[in-house]
Amino acid sequence: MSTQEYTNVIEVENLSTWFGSCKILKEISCYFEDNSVTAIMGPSGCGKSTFLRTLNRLNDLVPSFRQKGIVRFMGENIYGQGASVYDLRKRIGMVFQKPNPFPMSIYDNIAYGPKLHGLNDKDELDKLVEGSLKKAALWDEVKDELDKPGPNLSGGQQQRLCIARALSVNPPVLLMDEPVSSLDPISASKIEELITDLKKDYTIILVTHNVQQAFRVSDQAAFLYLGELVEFDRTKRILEAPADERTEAFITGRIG
Amino acid sequence: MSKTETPLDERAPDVFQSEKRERLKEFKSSMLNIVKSRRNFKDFLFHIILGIGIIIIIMPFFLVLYQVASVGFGELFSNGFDSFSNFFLTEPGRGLMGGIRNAFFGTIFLIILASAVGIPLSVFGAVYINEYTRPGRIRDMVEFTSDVLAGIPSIVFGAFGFAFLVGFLGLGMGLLSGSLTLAFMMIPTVLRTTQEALRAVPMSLREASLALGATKWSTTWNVTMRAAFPGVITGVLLAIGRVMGETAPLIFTSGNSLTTPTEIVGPGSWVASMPYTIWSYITDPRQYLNIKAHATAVALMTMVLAIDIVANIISRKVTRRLV
Amino acid sequence: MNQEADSTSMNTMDEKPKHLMTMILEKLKRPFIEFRDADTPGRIDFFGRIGLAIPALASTLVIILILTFLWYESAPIFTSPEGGPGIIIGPTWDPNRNLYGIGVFIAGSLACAAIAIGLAVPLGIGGAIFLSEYCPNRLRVPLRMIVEMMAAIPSIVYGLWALLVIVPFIEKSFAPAVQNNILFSWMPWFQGSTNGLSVLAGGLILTIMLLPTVVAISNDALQSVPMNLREASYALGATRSETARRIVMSAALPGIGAAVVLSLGRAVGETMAVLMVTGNSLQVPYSLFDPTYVMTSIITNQLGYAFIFPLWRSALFAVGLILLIMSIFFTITAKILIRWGMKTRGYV
Repeated sequence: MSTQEYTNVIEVENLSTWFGSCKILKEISCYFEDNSVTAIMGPSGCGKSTFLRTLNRLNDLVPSFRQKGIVRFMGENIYGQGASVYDLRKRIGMVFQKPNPFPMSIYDNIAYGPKLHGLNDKDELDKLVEGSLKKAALWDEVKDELDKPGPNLSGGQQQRLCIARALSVNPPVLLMDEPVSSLDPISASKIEELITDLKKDYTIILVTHNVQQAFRVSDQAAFLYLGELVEFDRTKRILEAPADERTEAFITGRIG
Repeated sequence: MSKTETPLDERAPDVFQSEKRERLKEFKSSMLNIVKSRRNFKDFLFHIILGIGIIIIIMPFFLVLYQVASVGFGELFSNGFDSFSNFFLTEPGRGLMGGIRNAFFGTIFLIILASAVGIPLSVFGAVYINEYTRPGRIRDMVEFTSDVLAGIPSIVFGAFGFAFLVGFLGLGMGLLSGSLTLAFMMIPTVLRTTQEALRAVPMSLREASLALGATKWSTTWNVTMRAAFPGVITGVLLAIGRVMGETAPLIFTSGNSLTTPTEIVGPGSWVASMPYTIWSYITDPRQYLNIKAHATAVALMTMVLAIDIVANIISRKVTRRLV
Repeated sequence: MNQEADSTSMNTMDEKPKHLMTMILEKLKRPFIEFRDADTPGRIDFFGRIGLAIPALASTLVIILILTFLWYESAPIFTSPEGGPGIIIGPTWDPNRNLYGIGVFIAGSLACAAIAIGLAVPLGIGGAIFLSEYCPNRLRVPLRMIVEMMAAIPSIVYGLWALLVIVPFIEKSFAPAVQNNILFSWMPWFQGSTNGLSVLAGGLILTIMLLPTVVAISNDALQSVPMNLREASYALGATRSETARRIVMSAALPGIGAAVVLSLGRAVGETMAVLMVTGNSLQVPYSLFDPTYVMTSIITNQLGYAFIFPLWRSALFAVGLILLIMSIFFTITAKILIRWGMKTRGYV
């Protein structure tokens, strides 16, 4: 992929998606700015996760998935002809709802991505592992036990390990699919802090159904309802003065 | 996912109508990718090798089927339906020129008797350890021993039947010894599948019955077992299918006979079985017996595979209903 | 359990500590008290429970009986001067001269099993990966059905097919082809003339019979690997083969290990098919084309007329005992592997 002129790192134009004959997303258009946190909100089943997984083409794994519309990543259509899906996924990291460390050591968990993309130098890998773990604020807790299996960590540590794993290939964009919803409040707040820190270097797209969380960490917000993009603006504006009554209903807790 | 909430008619026509063209385009671009990148090429190669692997794996099935069925069905239907029914309904007679009535009914008698002993034993056992014991030593022990039992070679069962049933208990060779040996072999399969089926029954179902004042006993048999029944049947069928094709345990326990047995114990109870007949016919130098062995084999295989397919269908239906 | 039972047990817990004997007595008495206090459905329940407990112990009882009788029957050969524990590695089996070395059968069994495992394990694991990672949904169910049906085909039918197809193939095509080819003819494992009844034939038919086991169990292990691990790997830009080999395989490793061990047990224990194609000749095989004699075959062939000679019969039961111990060993190993997987992986 060559770098072209672009204004926003990800631009979505008229994106619609189907699973079989079910239309999940309906003509969505929006954009994601560099070094910002965008929260995608909405009640469960509104297509938030589908949207997120369309951005790194993870939905391609579902045989019945079809999409229409354009998603531009750094100026290039990711669904265009000849686009390499592996390269794309390398450059768009993802963190999942449930922590899912690989059943291998902490070190191998993080070295897995770089090794895939051809980095085999031991010293470089060591440095990269250390750097990723530090960025994910996990280094101090695990630096003496890098050989321990990843799944043996606590839930919050596992999730930070997954963030470190996503950061290991140094992607400009990080997708997060409700990263704290399966964690206890203390671990959750740690990860929220981490997201604010990471904003300096990464563009973060965060799916959440928690309005307070969106308010705390995000700059922009998008509100999805039944596959439609209802509102897309600064988070503050949306939460303080929702333009649509569906958004207001969601914020005040009447739907969701 | 809000699949049900989305109206179905909002399909984008150009996406679906030009699907074929899209597919072709996709295929072309994926081909392009394969040539372009080493990693894609490796993935492609891996895919192809595994595909060839699975073809090699299932090929013997069709080869066996072809060999046995082409010769076997030729013999079975050499003279239309008459020869088919004659094959199963006449005794071998002089020079083993006749049918395999002895083996056909022998196998059926053996299976019936083995099921009569083996199935209740294992179903009751599974009910007891699943419904009446807490997880602990007894349950572990029963599960462990039945797993061990499942791994024991069939000839060891044969030797054990010979030493214990034929020799020590003095039952002698015959229908009873043979089917008891088969019954022992049925235990692990039926027990473990029954257990699985019982485990899949939700606890709330039992609680609902107990809350109405039912005893554990009636809850188990009227509610739990009824819910688990298809799973139990699957296990029973699998066990029967497996035991039906066994030769080794029968060689020293059931004896062999050219007539259908007339009693359960004693000299008149010696019984032939279809697998044993295949063995003795195929190792016989007389050519026409080899062909009869094929015919017996195709009959046995049809029975076993039919049972297996029925078991498969039942278990698939059940999983679909529970999921 | 009915209400009375629970209240009785509560009472005994609450009372002051008593003498051990009284406690045991009370524990023994409790079922009777329970029974006396119960109404009719409660009594049915009570008898039912006892009635069910006996069948539950059947499998344990059968195992104990098998062990006891095989040991009891094989004890003479292990204690007699002609035998002793040395027979396990003894290379000569000649009942006429009172030589009962069963090492030759163990060697034959292991040779056949080694060929079968060597071929079936890589092929079967590959097939399982194809089924769980690559296979289009439409093909998956029929392919699994075929694999399950392969497992259901009686071993005697496989034996019949091997005798009529594999054995002539080795004699007429395979052996001449490799022995006349300058590339292969020097290899020690391709030496000797053959009539097709050989270790190779036994190994090949065993391979075919093991494949369904290996594929089915490995496939179960692979499919129990959570989908989100695969997604995490794809999200890092891994291809399908990289995900399959590095993530799914390593996550499913204990289950696949169990599949290998269990199929090894089946390979050693398989009787009829191997008996029909290995040639049953009393020799340790040095070439793939040598005939051999496996443990299961010697029992099948000789127990029928050996049972009047105490030592001979005893030696045959000793072979059975060794088979039994091997199968128990394999089962335990598989269980340990699964448990280890549970501990380190959390699923499997």
